[in-house]
Amino acid sequence: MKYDFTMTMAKLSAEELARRIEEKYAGGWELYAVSYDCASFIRSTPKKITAYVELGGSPDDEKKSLYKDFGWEYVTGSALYSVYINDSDSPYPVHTDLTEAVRSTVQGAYSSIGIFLSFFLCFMLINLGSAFYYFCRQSLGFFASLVIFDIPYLLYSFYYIARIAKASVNAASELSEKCGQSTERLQRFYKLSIILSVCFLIITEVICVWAVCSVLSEII
Amino acid sequence: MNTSEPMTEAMYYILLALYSPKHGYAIMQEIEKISGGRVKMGPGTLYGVLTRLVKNGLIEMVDSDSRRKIYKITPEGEAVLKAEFERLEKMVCDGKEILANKRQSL
Repeated sequence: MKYDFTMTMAKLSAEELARRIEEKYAGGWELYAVSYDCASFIRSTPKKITAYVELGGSPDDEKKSLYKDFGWEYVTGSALYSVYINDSDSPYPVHTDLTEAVRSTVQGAYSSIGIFLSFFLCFMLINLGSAFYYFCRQSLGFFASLVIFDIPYLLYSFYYIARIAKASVNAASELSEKCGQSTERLQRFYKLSIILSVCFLIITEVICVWAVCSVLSEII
Repeated sequence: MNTSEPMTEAMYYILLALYSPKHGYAIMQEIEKISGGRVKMGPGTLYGVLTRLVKNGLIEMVDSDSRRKIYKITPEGEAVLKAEFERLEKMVCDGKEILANKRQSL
């Protein structure tokens, strides 16, 4: 088998992900892509490496270059994760200052919540836009195609990205506790994002179901 | 600089190392040299601090090639570093008086 797809990324913390990636490399698999919920590996020779998964967006060239100078090679990343590997027996630690590590993790958590909200808002606007278009123009095909394909993906994205955001918030909270910093503001922001998203999700879905029902009643 | 934010050890040593222009890896080497190997600086810590120091105007980029950016301390950075040095010096003096007395009593 040339490819292996792991679908469990959203259930794991950054540290757990790094350990899984190390196991995969030891088993003769090499990471070649990550999306927000899936890591893809390709068959290779077994290698002993240390992996580091950083939360947050893709790194710029300067960051990649700096990490490389310390032996950390950037492999791949998505809007939520960046994956680095180091094949040294005693790799140089990525973070040597707990305060800076906390700052970086908290930033990553805010970034995850931001991505969750932006994904969610995009899909919600598409659904509401298509429902509005239907009511204005009575164009069934356009509306139905958007809503039918979009709603399952919206729910799927909501579930996975919310889990990743939660894992990021938990990681930031655990690390912050070690140096006595409070993440109350981050926790509140996360809860508020979830509550707002659920409310808007219900409103959007009610409007869409109402529109679907009115279409069906017209057909029948 | 954001005055509500205390200067961390990492920030202090990076500012010290940037009295002459350097790129990221050279900064780490200089910090190890200055501190006699006591302070180690990982790439995550280094990148985070450099980004924040640039944002606060305490260091500036003086040159860059395709891979690396070279930074140097700014006059504002020098003033902040000197103020921090004086604060630390005062703390050491205060501590010396009490700890020296305690040693004598033992």
